[in-house]
Amino acid sequence: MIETTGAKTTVERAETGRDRPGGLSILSWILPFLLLAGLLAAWEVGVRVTDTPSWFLPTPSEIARETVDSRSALWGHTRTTLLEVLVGFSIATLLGVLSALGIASSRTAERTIYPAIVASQAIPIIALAPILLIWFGYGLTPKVIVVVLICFFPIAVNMADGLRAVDPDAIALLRSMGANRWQVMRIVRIPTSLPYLLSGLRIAAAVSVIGAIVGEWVGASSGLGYLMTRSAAQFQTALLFSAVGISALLGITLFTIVALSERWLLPWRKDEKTARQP
Amino acid sequence: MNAKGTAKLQVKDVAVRFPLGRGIVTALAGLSFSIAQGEFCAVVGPSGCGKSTLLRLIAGLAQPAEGSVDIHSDGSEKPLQSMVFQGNSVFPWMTVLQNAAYGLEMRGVSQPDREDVAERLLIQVGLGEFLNAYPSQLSEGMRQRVAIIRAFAVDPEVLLMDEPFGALDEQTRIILQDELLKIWEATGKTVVFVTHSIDEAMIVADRILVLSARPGTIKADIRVPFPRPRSVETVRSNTEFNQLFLHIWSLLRDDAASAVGAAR
Repeated sequence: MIETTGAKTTVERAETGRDRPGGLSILSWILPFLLLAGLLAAWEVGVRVTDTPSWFLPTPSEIARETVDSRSALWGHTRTTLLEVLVGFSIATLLGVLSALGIASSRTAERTIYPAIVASQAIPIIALAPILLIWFGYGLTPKVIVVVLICFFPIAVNMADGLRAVDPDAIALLRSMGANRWQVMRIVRIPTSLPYLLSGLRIAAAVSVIGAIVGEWVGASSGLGYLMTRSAAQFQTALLFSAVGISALLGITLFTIVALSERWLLPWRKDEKTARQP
Repeated sequence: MNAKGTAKLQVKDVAVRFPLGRGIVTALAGLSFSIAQGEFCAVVGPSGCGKSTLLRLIAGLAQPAEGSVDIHSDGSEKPLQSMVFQGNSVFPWMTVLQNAAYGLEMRGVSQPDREDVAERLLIQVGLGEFLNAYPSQLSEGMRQRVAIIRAFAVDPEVLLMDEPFGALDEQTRIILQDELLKIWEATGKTVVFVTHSIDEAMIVADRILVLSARPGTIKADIRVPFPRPRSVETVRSNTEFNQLFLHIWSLLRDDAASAVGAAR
């Protein structure tokens, strides 16, 4: 009992430290930044000292210069990829939430839908992409489908778990007050599932860019994945690194946006770390 | 005593059985009692005697294998029952006001009306400043107070409470017992109150049903003589308090001892 309380206090203190400006938080921002800067510096120096050719491994400064020089081309490719990601992620969210609600609504629906969801994840996406290319050509559609397939699983499974994670007492309470199925769903099950849905969305956001890049690799005329294959074939290594860096940045940005939306979607969690009266 | 006459709740020859492993366990057997309109009735018994099962039967959350449970309704739109559990019976995603008010939604009360009712009750118990706070910002005692207000707000025929103060520390429990006495004395609801605490049963109830070990049957039906209005202090300082406590304990002792495997 005493141990639990102690651990909880430590956690709460650590988390308030991160939220509050000043004190611990400045250090927690500076340290990863310093690490990154150190790694880049070591890279720059290492490449220059060993006289490594630029087509094999360009220095960070060369990559930065290439990024600035090719900014308009990079921007065009980034837009293509971003569009695929956003459309795919939105469709996956919609389908994921609907499937989860379906799964939670009845045992029969669960037994029908669940295997299909697992199957959608078991298919190697990289093997599916060429088939999509044959069916839908070089345009937006096959990439969006790959993004949907890769994002759908974590969203649907997490939300379905959340809808089932309801405290049975809470349902008993509502039933005793005469709530119907829809009211039980709206008052307890959906709110209970939202934190689970958000973990699913965070995972989906992190992998969504990977889906779009894979789709573009197989066949495309624009997009960061297309740019990567093209610049690799032409030994434009700095441009290749640039494209890799931007796609990573896209994934991180999407992840952060989803993580921040938690404050808006789950307002009751915002205050959870504030002081509790005994 | 509260002799308003008509039986509000009638439990007749109830038996409850449920499968356990390969066998069948009889949780309650041949249970019969009735509770009058406006009566505050506590149920005490050794652990595992089926107290909570009894409450679930009355709440309509379980069906008896034999017998019947009837709640007399005067035909109004009041819900038959409303329940308060031991803990976690407020929803973290609703504000204090929403938590206290949502029960009325099931009765088809419009949103402004249900918030009016809830707000009035919350102000009465000193939660007026916390209407828009989330439960995570409150203490355990305040959360449980919100749960009790929610149960009273729906104005049920019978109010069911399953160890509502069981998870609270002693001082908070005393304060909430006092508050419950006040709210109850103002509303005169029919209440069935399950508790493991003999003290608590004597403080809040007019009548105590003592259940035996499994299969639970009624071992004694005790009138609590302390006058109303009550407070924890007036009841505890009553000269008959200890005597009644010892009487109830003597009824429970053997069953309670065997429930924890102690030597008799």
